[in-house]
Amino acid sequence: MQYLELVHNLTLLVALSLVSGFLHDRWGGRRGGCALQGLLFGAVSVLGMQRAMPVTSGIFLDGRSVMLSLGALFFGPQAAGVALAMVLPVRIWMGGQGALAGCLVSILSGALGLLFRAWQDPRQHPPRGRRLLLLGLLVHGAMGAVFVCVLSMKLFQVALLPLVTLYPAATVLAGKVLSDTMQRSHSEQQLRLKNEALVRSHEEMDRLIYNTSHDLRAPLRATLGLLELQEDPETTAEERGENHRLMRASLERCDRIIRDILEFSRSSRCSSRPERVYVEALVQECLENLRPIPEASRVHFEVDVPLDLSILIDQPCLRSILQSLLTNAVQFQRADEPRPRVSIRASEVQGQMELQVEDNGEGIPAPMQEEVFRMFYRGSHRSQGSGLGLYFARQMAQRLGGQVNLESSQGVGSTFTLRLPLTPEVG
Amino acid sequence: MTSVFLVDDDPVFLMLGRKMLGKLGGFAPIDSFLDGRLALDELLRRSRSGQSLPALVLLDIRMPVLDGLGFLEGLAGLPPGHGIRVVIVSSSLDPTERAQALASPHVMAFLDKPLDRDRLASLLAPMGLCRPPGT
Repeated sequence: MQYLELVHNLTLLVALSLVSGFLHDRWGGRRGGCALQGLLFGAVSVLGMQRAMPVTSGIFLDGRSVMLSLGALFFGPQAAGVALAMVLPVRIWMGGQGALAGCLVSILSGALGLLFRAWQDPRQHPPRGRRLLLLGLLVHGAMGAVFVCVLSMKLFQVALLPLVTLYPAATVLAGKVLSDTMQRSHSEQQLRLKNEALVRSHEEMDRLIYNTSHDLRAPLRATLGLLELQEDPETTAEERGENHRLMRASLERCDRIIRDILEFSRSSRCSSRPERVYVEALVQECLENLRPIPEASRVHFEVDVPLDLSILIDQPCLRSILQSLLTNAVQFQRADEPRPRVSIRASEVQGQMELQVEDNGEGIPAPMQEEVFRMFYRGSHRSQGSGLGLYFARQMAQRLGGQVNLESSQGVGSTFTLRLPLTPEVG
Repeated sequence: MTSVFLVDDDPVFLMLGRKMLGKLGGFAPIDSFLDGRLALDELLRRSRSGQSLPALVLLDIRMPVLDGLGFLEGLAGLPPGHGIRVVIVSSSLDPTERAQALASPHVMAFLDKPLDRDRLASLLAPMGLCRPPGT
C-alpha cells in the first residue's frame, strides 16, 4: 500500500502537466510566463511532498524529481529557479536524515532538465518518448547514486524498484503530455502567423488590383475623352494634331505600366535561381540602359565599386532593383543644377553588399521619404514613370532578404542605400 | 458666371475639362491646378486676402504631393460657410476611396472620367451652377 502514496504523487504530476499546458497556451509567449510555470511546478512539488511514500523516518519518495526535471526541461532556468526556491526551503524545514539527499536530488533534477534543454530546445524540437525516458533514467539514476552515497545501500535497495519503473514511466507520461501541448500550441501559432500573412497578401492583392486598374484606366479614359474631342466637328486641324499626340502619350503610359507590372511579376519569383554576379559589371550595364532617357545625357556618373565585389543572387532581380534606383536618380535632377551628378558606391559590410546611389537632385522632403516606396506613388509632376519602380525595388530587395532605404534633404539630393546578403538566405 | 477650379495631375483632363465647361457655358474664370496642394494654397491665399472663392471644384483623387482626399481635409482650414461645392472626377474603381470622398460634406458627386457633359449639366443645373442640359 506504500506505493499508493507514490502513485498518488505521480497522478498529481499528470494533472500538473495539463494545468501547465493550459498556462502555456494562455501565457506562454508573455513575460513572466516561465516564472508562472516555475510557481506551478514548485507548488505541486511541495504538495506532493505532503503525500509522499515514506521509506523510513525522515526519508520519503515523492514526484519532486520528475516535476523539477520536466519543469526545467520545458520552461528553462527561470522556471527551475522559482520551483527550487520553493521546494528547497520546504524540504529543509521538513528535516530528517534525508534532508540533504532530498535537496541534492532536487538540485540534480533541475540541473539535468536544463542540460537536456541545452541539448535540444523543446520549443523547436518537442521531446519524444525516448529522450524523455533517457531523462527519467538519468535523473533517477542520479537519485539512486545520491541514496548510495549520502544515505545507505539498504535504503537504495528499498527505493530501487520505483526508481527504475514508476519514476521513468511517470517522466515519459507527464513529459509526453507537456510535449504534445507545446507542439499543438506551436502549430496553432504557426497557423495563426500563416493566416495573418495570407490576409496581408490578400489586402496587398486588393490594393494592387485597385491601384493598377486606376492607373491603367486613367490614360485609357483620357484617350477616350480625346477621341470624343476628335469627333467634335468644332475641333480644328491643329487641335486634332495635338490631340493625336496626347493620345499616343496616354497609350504609351498604359504600356509602360503593363511592362513594369510584368517585370515585377517575373522578378518576384526569381530568388530561387542565384548566380555569381559582379556588381561593377552590372552597374555599368544598367548605366548603358539609361541612354534612352533624355536627362541622362547631362548627368555625370561616378562609379566606385570594387571590381571583385560579387554577390550570389538572381541577376535579373538585382538588375531590376539597380535600374529603378538609377532611373530615379537621373529623372529627379534639378533643371538649374549646372553639374548634375549621380554616384554609385558599393562595398561589403558585415556579410552584406551595401550599394548606395547618391544624387544632387531635387531631394525629397522628410514627410514624403517613406511615401516614395508606396505603390503608384508619384512625388511630383515631373514623375513620368509608372510610380512602380521604387515600390518594386523595395519589394524585391525584401524578398531577397535585404532592404532599400532613403536619406534625402530637399534641394540637396538623395541617397538610396540597398543592402543585400552576399549569399542567399536559406528559407 | 460660375467660377471653377479644375484640379488634376493629368494635363489632358485639365484640357478636356476646360473645353467641356466652355461648351456648357456660364463658367468663368476657370483655374487649373496640377495637384491638391497648389489648389488648396490658392484657396487659402484668396480666403486670407478676402478675394472671392470658386463656387465649384472639379477634383481628381489620385495626385502627387496632395491627393484629392487631402485637399478635402484641407478645406476645413477655410472659414465656415464658404459654400464651395466639389465634384470628384476620377477613374478610381476603389469603393473605399469612393466612400471616403463622398463622406466629405463638400462633395456633391463622384463622376467617372472622362466627364460626360449631360451628366455634369444635370448635376449642376438644379443648384443654378449651369444651364440645364439641352438648353
